[in-house]
Amino acid sequence: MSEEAKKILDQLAALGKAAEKAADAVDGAEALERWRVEFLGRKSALTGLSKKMGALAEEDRPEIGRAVNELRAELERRLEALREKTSPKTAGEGLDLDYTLPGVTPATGTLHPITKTYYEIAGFFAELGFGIAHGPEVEDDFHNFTALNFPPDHPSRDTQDTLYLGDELLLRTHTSPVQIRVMLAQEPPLRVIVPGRCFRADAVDASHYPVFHQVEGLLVDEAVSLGDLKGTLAAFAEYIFGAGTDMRFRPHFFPFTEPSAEVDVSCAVCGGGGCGTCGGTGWLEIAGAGMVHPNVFRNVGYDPERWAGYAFGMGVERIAMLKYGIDDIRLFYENDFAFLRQF
Amino acid sequence: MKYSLKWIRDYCPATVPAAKLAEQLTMTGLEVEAISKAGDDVIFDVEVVPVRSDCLSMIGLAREIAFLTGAPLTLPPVLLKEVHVPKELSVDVDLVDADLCPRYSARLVTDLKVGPSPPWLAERLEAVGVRSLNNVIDITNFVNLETGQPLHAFDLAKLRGRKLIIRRAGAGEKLVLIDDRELELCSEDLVIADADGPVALAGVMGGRDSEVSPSTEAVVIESAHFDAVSVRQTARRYGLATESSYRFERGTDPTATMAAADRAAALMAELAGGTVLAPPADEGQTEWSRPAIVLRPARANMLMGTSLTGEDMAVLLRRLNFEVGLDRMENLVISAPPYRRDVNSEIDVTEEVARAYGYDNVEATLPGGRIPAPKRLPREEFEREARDILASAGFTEVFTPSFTNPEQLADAGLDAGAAVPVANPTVSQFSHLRPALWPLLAEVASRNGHGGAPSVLIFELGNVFAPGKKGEVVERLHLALLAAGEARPRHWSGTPPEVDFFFAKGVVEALARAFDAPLEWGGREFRVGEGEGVCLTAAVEPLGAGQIVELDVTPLWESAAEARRRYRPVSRFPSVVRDLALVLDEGQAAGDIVAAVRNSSELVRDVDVFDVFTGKGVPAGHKSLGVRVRYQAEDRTLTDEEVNAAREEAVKTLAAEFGAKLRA
Repeated sequence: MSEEAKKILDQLAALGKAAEKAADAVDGAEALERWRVEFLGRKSALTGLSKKMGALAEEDRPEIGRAVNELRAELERRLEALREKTSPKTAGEGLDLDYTLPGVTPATGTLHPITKTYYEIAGFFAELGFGIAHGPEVEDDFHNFTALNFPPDHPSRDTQDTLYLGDELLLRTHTSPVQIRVMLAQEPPLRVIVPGRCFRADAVDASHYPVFHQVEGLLVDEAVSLGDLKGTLAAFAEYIFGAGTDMRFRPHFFPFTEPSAEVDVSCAVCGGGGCGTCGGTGWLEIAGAGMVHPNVFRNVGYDPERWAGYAFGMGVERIAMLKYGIDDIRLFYENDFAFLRQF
Repeated sequence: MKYSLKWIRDYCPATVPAAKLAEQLTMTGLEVEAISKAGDDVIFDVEVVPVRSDCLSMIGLAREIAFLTGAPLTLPPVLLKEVHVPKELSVDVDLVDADLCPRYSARLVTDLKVGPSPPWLAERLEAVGVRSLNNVIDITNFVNLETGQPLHAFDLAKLRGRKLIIRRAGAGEKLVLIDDRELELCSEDLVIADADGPVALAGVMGGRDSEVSPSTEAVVIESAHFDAVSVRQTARRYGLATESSYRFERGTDPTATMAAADRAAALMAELAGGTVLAPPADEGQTEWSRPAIVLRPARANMLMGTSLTGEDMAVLLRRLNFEVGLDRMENLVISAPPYRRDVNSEIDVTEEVARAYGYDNVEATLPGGRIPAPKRLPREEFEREARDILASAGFTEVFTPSFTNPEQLADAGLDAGAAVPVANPTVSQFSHLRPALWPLLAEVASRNGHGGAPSVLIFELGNVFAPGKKGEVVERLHLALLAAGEARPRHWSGTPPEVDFFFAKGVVEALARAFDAPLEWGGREFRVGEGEGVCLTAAVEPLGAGQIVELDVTPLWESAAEARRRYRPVSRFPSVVRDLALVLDEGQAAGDIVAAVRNSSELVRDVDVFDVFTGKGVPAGHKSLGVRVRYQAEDRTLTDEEVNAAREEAVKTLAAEFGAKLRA
């Protein structure tokens, strides 16, 4: 190796040491830029040395070239490290992580409490072998009333507060017309629930809204009893409201079932002792139910001597209100995030 | 209806505490909705179901209480002192339309002194919310409340021709009611007329001109059995609802008319100094019998889930005043009491047995029997999956009412004529059925934006309605979503971007992928499978432009049911990525380029757009499109030559079809 080459190697080593020393003093973006210009700029000593390569003997060039490149690479790494050190830090970086800062929450939405409540209801009945049927929200008199044994011009129709769309059509007041549709389309045995939106000509207040949701249930078989209906809904009440929930059947009247009942569960707020939520009775109504009326079977062409069945209809909002302690039905349709995101 | 326990004790001296009694009544189907104290009386407010018209009276509820408590039921004795006169001097009734009035009973009472009622009578009425007027009117109201038989009193002096004709009205005949309303009647209305014209709307309301006044000296007490449907139709036609029409609509006891008239006449003799003339009028059908009903104990036990004997059932029914016999098959042969108009068939009797036995005493069992074969539920499965995808993508589910109104539609730029009107809306904002979901979502978004939400991502799955061509209503299941404001939850590490069209489009792409449905775009409209959808923007105060997607999903779940996903082998060989930096006419749609690249070789697996820009380095009127292509084969490792050839092929096609050049 020529003297000239040895000299360059010494100069490179010195340059490396000088750069290292100067780097320790770099304390900000400006100092860093000065350091970069001094050691890596176009007029730096390193650039000057690399330009001298051409003057070297052929056999010295690879070694000197390698040394120049190594130093340049090292200085560039050093530059990156200095950049990292001098650039402004955001709060979570570096060694001193503040583990109490909020995490990055994935953007997930929530399902509406009516949907969630319906899924719970459907989950219970799926285990008992109930399928699911849907039907139209715009109905006719036959399916909503006549086939369900509502006589024409009978006061029982007043209880339905029907919204009409004209002479022929109406908005279904309950999911029960789907019972008729299912029975007209299928032969027993049947086990089906019907979820859906229903409508009443109600004013709007804390417990009434012109729109609400029901889950209807229908079971038809050769031997079905009021006791089976009680057992089904008692198990349902415990499934939804928790073990130990009591249930009672009060005789009632619906044109399409007989015997008919209104179904109450023990008030979860007071445990049955009586409070404001349950109006002091200790009981809260959750459903109407009964044994399918023989006239309904006749209307769909089932033989009421051969088949028996039970049916029930429950208000989904009502169940959600009792389950979650919601005191105003309007909340379900106002869709305030402060409400929806609790579910 | 309101009931006075003090009054009821006149007929049934049950000594059960009020709260206990209320509980018992509730559990037998007469729900006591409220209990209030009034001095030494207790008032029950009871919900009487429409078929239990027999309970719409003090005696009616006393009968139930007697059954429940075992206390005796004592009906008030009627001691009539009649003065017999020639028939023409008594009351003259001409029952013309007996189809609408099967029975018409009436009594004439003369020599009356109209004046205040004795305190006990006024108290009885006022306890249940009926104002005391004078002794004669109060007695008709009292007997109505006592027996459930509506009565009406006509001032005899004001009946022209001294007669009552029960007939359909002539079209256009006029009648001024006691509330001074003048009605123009139609030929379907039943009226009580005198020789000159109508004096009362049968079963609904009396007329002003024949009303009892302080100077009345003689009255005709009407106690009739009117047809329930006729009374209901007439009452509804004129928007009338009275104590009388309420009871007639629900069905009254046709055997009870004469007794009620007698009871009122006796009270008028006693309390208003009246003289009761005989003979009374009693026109129409006076003998009524109930059909025999056969109850099969085995069938009843099956339906109830009980194991009662026939005798057990007979005992319960007799306590409810049913006549019970046996046929040769050991079945019960039942005759219901005349006031139980609701018991006409075996199932009606079964319900009575269950009610009397107590629903509480029926053992709760789970159904046995056969479980039908489970079926797939394509709509249900679709709805669940769509909801899960959208919730995972950050969207919150909302439920809006199914209604809208012309103002909301106009704000949304929609034609009110495209929405189905509700004939009898109860809330003015709910006058029409919604023809689309998004205007309601925009309102929800705005409300939450004003509430301070920096980001609103919402969706709804629900029906929309449109008028059909033949007067029907077309109902479709729609899915709509709306995104406004920031695209991601806020975080201290940086400001999230605002939502834009591509945010909404990406959600549609995710849905299409989830349901394995082909997705095609034409501008802002798209088809996913057979379902048509559109992307819209709408102003969402205060968040700026809301990105909206509304999609008809019925075809989607219908096709999802048919689509069978098939596994495609996963290649074990490495894939190779090549980038294409293309210069295109500024107006060239990227979608065409991506499609062309995808079709350029069977080795292409994925095509992604990684950047789009104009300006520096790109000629004017052009744009740069960066496309990343991943090549892979299922059966071999691709060589550089193969991949380069495939890439060359794509470049050639793009140049030929779209004039695309590779960027230098």
